[in-house]
Amino acid sequence: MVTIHYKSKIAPYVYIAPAVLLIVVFVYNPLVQNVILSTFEWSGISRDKVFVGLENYRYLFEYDVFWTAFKNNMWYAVISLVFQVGLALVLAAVLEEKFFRKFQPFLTTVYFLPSVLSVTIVGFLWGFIYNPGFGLLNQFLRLIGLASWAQPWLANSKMAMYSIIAVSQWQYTGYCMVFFLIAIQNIPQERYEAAEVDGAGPLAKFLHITLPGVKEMLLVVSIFTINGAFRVFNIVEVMTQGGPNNSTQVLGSLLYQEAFWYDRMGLASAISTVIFAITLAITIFQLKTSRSETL
Amino acid sequence: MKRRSRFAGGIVLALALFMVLPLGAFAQEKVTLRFFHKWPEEPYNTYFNDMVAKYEELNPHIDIVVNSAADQPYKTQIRVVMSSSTPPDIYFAWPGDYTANFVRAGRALDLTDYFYGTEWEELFPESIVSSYKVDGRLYAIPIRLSAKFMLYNKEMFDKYGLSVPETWDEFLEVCEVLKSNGITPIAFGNRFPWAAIHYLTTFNQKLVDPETLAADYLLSGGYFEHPGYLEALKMFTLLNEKGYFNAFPNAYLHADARSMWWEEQAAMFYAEIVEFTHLSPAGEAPDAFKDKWGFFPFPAIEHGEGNQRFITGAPDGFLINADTKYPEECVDFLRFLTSVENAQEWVRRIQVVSPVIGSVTEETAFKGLVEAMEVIGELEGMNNWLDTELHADIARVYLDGSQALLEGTKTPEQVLKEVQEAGRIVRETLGSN
Repeated sequence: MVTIHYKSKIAPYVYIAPAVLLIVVFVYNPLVQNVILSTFEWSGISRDKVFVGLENYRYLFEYDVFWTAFKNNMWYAVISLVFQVGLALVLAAVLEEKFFRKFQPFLTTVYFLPSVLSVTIVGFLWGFIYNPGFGLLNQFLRLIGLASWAQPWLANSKMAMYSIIAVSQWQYTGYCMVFFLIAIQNIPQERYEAAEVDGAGPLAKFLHITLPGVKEMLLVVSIFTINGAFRVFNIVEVMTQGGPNNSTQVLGSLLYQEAFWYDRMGLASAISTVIFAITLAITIFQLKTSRSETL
Repeated sequence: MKRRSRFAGGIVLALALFMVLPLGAFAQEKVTLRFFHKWPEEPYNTYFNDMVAKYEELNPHIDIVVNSAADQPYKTQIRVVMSSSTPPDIYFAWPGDYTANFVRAGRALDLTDYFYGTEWEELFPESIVSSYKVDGRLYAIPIRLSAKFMLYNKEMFDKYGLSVPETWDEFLEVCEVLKSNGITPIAFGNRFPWAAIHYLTTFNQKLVDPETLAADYLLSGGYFEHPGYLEALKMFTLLNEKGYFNAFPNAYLHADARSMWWEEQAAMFYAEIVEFTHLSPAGEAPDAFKDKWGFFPFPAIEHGEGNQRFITGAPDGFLINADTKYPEECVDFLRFLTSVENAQEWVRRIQVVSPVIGSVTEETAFKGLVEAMEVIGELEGMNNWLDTELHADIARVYLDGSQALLEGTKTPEQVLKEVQEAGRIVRETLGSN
């Protein structure tokens, strides 16, 4: 083993100082400031801040729109897990099957393509598809004799959230699939051949070889998906702005609106602290589990 | 020793001269004013840029930095820039509590003494300027005037023998006739619920007596116990339940509804006079439609306790930051913007109304705009937007509630109860200060 001897003990710290400084100023500093700000009542316009302790949090936990938003984020996470993790893995396994190999590059591109579009464009596009009058979806339903299913997808407070979640699945399932494809391709081919010799069918191969083989990736993509589900903002902002009547509010959009529409900066800071706590917990969980795997 | 000090003195003198000379050449210190307005779209944008250029030419020592954001983003950005280290010196705000909020935070310059008792005052009708008064003091100078009219398709009205309704009952009859003939009576897009607020603003004003209304809209009020408030919500719901609006208003933007109307898929459309610009000769409405439309003020509600000769609408105006280093220069720029000549230019170029007397004439404005101004002139007062008039926490109950009413997930009674509750909280937390 090669060990590098520095003449000075300070030198290594000097080398990492710029990066540490940047992170402290731009990441940790705002984090701490945000937590401090969440204990004040203040607005963007006024220069006065009133210390209120944990009042913003108390208000938040009794605030029905906050719970609507939280519930929507939970659904976002659950549905995204089913599609962006479950379905994406199945798709990847199918594409790795011998029969599909020759179509694989084409199909991968097809599935992957939506994820390179900007969320704003996707939001507008689906806004048109969901339009109750001329929208493709309703026209299609009428065409196949399901006119009674046609509805104002984004204006129906019971359907709107799911309509938005569906768009995210459309956009990112192919993206996650690519990660699984890579993971599957890293599994030694001999294992599959050995299994075939033992007479294993496609399902058995999937359950006993593919699944254990992509466990690491499965965990990473799951964490990444759940994390994304709690930080979602732009697709909601483009498609519904949290409406109708707050039914599509997520934590991110609520934070934005409380801060910039309704001037409740303290409350908004509290929401962002909550989002931070949730994503931090998920990340710690990921670090713990992945570390125990490798050790 | 003596020589040296004289030499040193000479250098100091030369340096001093060197520093003073350029100042003397410009005579004045360079002044930078930040101007933040809410019209990034054309033709407004060019108008403001041209005015700024013209002003800078007349006042070479002043440099005006212009920034703008459209309606919805403006609400966000103004909060960000106000808390930044370079807040605007001149900025836009809606009248009502929206402006009062800036006043309470100490961010608005009191313009009363700059305006009243000067020639400036003569340029504006007091009824319009007074929208920007908070506790009797003036805080903004209006630049644009908006008012709501019900626009209608003359051909459709003629076809079914309908005449312009003057009362609420006649209005409902007109809707019924249109509907029974398979025509959507009113195009309505409420994805951004301020569109519904314009109906509710109108209904509240017409149904509730002025004193009660004014008291409830103040922070110290907010009781909303007059039966007119419930009736207002019910009238709005009635229009929807009877099928007088197009299906699913929450799915459409106000602009979608406007196109629906001029594409002749609906007979009426509740619009602001600032939208008339689309119907002007250069406007984006289909040319064939431009002679087919008419307008009328919202019909009177006969049993209503409010003044039926009010029109829903408000001026749009500019405030001056109380912290500006250059209040005189800011005032001077606003005086320049609202001179008769520049106000006429505003009307001529944009085809929207300026509150400056003598700006809307047959020479500067198209026929529809001139006629609308005549109607406004005959009316007795303005009824400002509910969502900017009320405290934001009460307004949002109305905003969210309107979407729930249209969908049928809440009743008018439930929405009113939430309004009263929000009023109580605002009264207790803010009104008491």
